[in-house]
Amino acid sequence: MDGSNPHREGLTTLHHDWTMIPAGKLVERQTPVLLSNGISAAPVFDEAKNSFTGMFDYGDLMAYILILLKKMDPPQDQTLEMRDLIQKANNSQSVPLGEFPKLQAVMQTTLHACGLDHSNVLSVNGNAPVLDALVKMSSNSVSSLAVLDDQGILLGNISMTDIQHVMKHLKSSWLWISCFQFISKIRLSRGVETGEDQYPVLDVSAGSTFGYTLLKLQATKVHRLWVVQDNGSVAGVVSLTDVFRVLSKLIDN
Amino acid sequence: MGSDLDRQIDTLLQCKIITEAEVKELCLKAREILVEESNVQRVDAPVTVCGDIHGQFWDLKKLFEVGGECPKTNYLFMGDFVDRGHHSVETFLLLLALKVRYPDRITLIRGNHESRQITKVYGFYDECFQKFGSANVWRYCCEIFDYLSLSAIIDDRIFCVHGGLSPSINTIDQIRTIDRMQEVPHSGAMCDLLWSDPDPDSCTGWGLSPRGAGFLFGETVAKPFLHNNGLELIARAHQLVMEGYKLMFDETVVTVWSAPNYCYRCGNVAAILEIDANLGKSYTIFRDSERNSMASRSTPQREGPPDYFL
Repeated sequence: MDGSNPHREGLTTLHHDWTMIPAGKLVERQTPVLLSNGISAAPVFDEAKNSFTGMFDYGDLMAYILILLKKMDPPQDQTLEMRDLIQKANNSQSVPLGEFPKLQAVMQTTLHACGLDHSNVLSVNGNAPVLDALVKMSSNSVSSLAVLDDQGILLGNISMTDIQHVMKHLKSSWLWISCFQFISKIRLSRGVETGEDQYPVLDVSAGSTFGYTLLKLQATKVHRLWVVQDNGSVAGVVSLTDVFRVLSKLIDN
Repeated sequence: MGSDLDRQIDTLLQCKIITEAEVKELCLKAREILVEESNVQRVDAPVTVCGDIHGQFWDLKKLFEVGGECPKTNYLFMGDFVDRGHHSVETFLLLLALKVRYPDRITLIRGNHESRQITKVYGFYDECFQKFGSANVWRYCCEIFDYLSLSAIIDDRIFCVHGGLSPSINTIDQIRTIDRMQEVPHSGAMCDLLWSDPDPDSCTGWGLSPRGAGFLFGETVAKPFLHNNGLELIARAHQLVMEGYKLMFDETVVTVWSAPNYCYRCGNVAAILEIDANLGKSYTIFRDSERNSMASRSTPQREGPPDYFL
């Protein structure tokens, strides 16, 4: 850590290269930072306040993009913070920056037309132990797997976030239960925390539009949606990374 | 036959299971009754409307103490009889047996948990397997789920549904045209009725649900629906309410939750909505039964006590 760099003061001595996003910059410039570093959230550093003001993540970006679809007048105050932008936009107030007609077009394109229904989907059988899923994710450098039954029908999703949750609570015995049982425990736990149970399978179809997929990602607050065929088998996956890859192409043009 | 059913009800009232053969027989009889019911089942006031039970058998018994025994009290249960609690089997079979015994004094409508896919994840399948040694009872019950009504209407004025409204449905008559006798679909009108939630914070009419099925609907959707269908209230369940019940949208939508101390840890109270002959409404709150702490020690567990993240 370079102690003379004021941006790094107060940070831990972990060997991350913290990627920072200057507060107040336009969101279009923040997205490449996230993508090129392969991370899903970055701290936002406000030079004026010389402190961290929050995390900028894909959720914010998605909310922003969705709001862009509505026609808004630019506000007079151009120094609005990113977080304030989202807040204002959520309250249906004006959002700066012009319209993006190309964005509108992409929103109405199907996942099939976007080529997002042909991803190579990595999966694990519902009866396999969680440990197998962990090994597979690790050796393939992916953060989640589709959990399938013997017929290849999607039962749910197992992700590194879920497994980290297990580790945090030291329930190592759960590494040996089946993936399906694991999904069940995760769902049971989450449902009682929120007071409402979620559908076990979070998916879209190849015919769903890109815009609908974004809306569903934002509504369900997940990092990926499986693309399934009518019979329930998996055709692909749309992750936040895929979404912003598509959107970034528009921004660059 | 009649005395058999009474005996089975007595057994179930003690939280004891009947045999697999008896379950099969009971389901056959129940099917004959349920197949005649409408997607929007007509119910006459007075009636006591109840929300989710989720296998909390002793709390259901408490509900009957508070609301009065069936058939003396006319009951309407808005679904989610199974999953999560320790006694989904006894709970559902008791309600079903009461339905067969007193078909005009108890109405059961379908919740989102009355589904093959959901019960495999949220506990009912495992409980059936554990208590009966096979998946047969689960299959019989799932077939019955397919026959349950989607909703009910009390004196043409109070609409009762487990989840909420659907963008595909503007009139009660449209609900009548749904082919309900199937597994709950992943999307569409039938799914929405069982999965949607009212959204008190919503500025716009409809939103995608964080649950991944159904929709969120705002006041701007609920009020016109009520007006266009001549209704004064939508009663629904589906969401945990710490205070037992929650009124929204100028008291035109109410969530009724009937599983106290949900999952034996949430610390909430439960409620029932008593509707009198003049459609006067009163809410009664109740707490969980003391029998729960006794029961969890003696009930065979799946893999140790329910494992919830803390």
